[in-house]
Amino acid sequence: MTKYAIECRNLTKTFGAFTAVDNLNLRVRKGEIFGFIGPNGAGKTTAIRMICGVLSPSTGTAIIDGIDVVKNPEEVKQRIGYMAQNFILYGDLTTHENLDFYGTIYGLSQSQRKQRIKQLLELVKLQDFENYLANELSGGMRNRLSLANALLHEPKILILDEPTAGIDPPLRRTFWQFFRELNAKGTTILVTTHYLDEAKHCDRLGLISNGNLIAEGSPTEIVRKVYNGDLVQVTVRESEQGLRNILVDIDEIKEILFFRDIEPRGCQTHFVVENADSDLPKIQKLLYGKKIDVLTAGKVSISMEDAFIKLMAEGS
Amino acid sequence: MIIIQPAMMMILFGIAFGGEITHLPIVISNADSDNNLGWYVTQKFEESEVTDVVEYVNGFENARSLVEKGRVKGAIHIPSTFSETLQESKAANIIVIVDGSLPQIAQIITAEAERISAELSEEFSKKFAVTTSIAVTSESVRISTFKIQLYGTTKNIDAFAPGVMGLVVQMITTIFTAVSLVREKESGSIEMIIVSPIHKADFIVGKFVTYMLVALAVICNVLIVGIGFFGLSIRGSILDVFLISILFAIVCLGLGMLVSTISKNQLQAVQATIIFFLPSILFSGFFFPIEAFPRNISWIPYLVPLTYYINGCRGIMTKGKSLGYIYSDLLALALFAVLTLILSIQRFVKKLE
Repeated sequence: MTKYAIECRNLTKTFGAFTAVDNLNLRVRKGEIFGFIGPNGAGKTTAIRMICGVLSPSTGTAIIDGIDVVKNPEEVKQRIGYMAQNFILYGDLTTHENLDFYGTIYGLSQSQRKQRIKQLLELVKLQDFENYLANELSGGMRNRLSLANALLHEPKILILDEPTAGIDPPLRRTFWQFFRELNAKGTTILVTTHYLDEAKHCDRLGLISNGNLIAEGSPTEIVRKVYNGDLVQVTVRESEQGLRNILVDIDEIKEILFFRDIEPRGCQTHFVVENADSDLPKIQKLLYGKKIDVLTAGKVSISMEDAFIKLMAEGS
Repeated sequence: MIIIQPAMMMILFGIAFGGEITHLPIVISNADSDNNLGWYVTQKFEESEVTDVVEYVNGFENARSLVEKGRVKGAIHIPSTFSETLQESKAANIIVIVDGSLPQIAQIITAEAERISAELSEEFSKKFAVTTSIAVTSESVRISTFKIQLYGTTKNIDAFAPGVMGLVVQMITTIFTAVSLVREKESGSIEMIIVSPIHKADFIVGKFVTYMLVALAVICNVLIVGIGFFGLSIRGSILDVFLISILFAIVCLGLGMLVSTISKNQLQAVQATIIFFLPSILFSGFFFPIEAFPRNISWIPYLVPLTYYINGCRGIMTKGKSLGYIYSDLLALALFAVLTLILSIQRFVKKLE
């Protein structure tokens, strides 16, 4: 038996001249939470749809739990739980009817369905909305219903396409709690998100940009891999252009990541230096010499966001 | 599509309704025993544009049964005493047998027979005047037609009801099926169906059964209104009417499935349905007898499922026949049903595009 729950082999999808997923080789190990991260339009959903057997790959294939999705899509479908980005259950059926309908399709007996639906509705806290039409539910409730639906047949592999998109932070936290609980019980989870702060919940990450996998590894691995040095944050009372002109001439600065405006009139920047402890005082002195009012200066722990922006820039 | 459709409609109307009704198939049974005056009658029908004599048969009963079976649209019987009575009393009958379930056709054939009778009366009058020396008194010959209309007289509602039922069933089931599937594409719910392990045949049959029930309710409605308000007569078994309607509904459901596979949104689905719908109205014999089509397009009605439904329904409702009588229509519909079902299951791919 392979140790991978999901293994994409040169997975490619083209729509006319546009290549949505380009030669993707992604491996999700059994029992991990794998975060599939990338900006909108990077090809996450297309890749996931191919993995689920909803879209046919142009070339390449994916092996899910040892089964080739191109050769045997129906077999794969029985093994995965899928939660799509949009709400794709029936809006004119009630919460219970939707779950009962798909429960039947997944081959659960009537008593199994009854028990499972009760259990899942309690899990996602929808027990009071059992007889509401899905269309009458709020966006967050519909997401919870979709999750319950994906869990109906107790799949070994859960594939979640932006499960937390457009829902409020408390619910996002609850969702990640669900995921960790499920994962603790042995469910492999492939989850996409563009909330980078969610990446820290994942065991491993895959960063995708323009249909290509640009980095893969645990969150700390990815962050460490990104910069060969320390990241420094400096806030000054100066325009972005003014600060930029000065910073580009400083040799100690290996790389400037970004500038952002600070109200009322100021600017914040992140840049990389070899060693923050020795280089930062020199840079501060230099700025002071240029009559620039430095508000804050200090080493920052590298965020996923920084790492991501850096990797994106390198990838394109 | 929006621009082309009206033009297409006009062209179809022009082709279908442009001509007159001609070349109706009839049989002649010439029982005239002596003197061959009956031969003149057969010649007139042979020459007629309106009728095509496809066969000569022996005896009134044979002729009648061919009309009854629907093989020909009418029959002419020349009685054995035709020449005799004509020469003796200067008056004779020809018998026209027509199908009352097709009132338009019956009327056209009867009118043609009357025209021929009048023409022959005149010709025979002149002829007798020459051959008989004493005929200077010019006593004229009179040939009358005697019409036998099978299934009695029919009301307009009886002639139109099968067509209306067929159209309503086709319209509702085709549009409902097509739109219900396309709506799943639009709302995205098809993605969940695709990602679930449901067998696609199960999914399609599920749709079929649902809209079949709708179709049955529609048929009930049409029948209740027809019988209750307009005195529609059903001479055969009402169960047979349901049976052929179910068969026809299956064909339409299949058609709806096919439409849904080529349509991206609901508007397209409705438009595509109308494209299937128009030829059905025009070429099924609903308004206009299919016999009336010009020769070069006379095969089109046989490609339209509604043709067989209307014909079969007329057999049951107007003629009061059993299923055995309309077996060919049932067979054709079954063929269409199997074809559309197989095609739609094949065309329905459990994938997103």
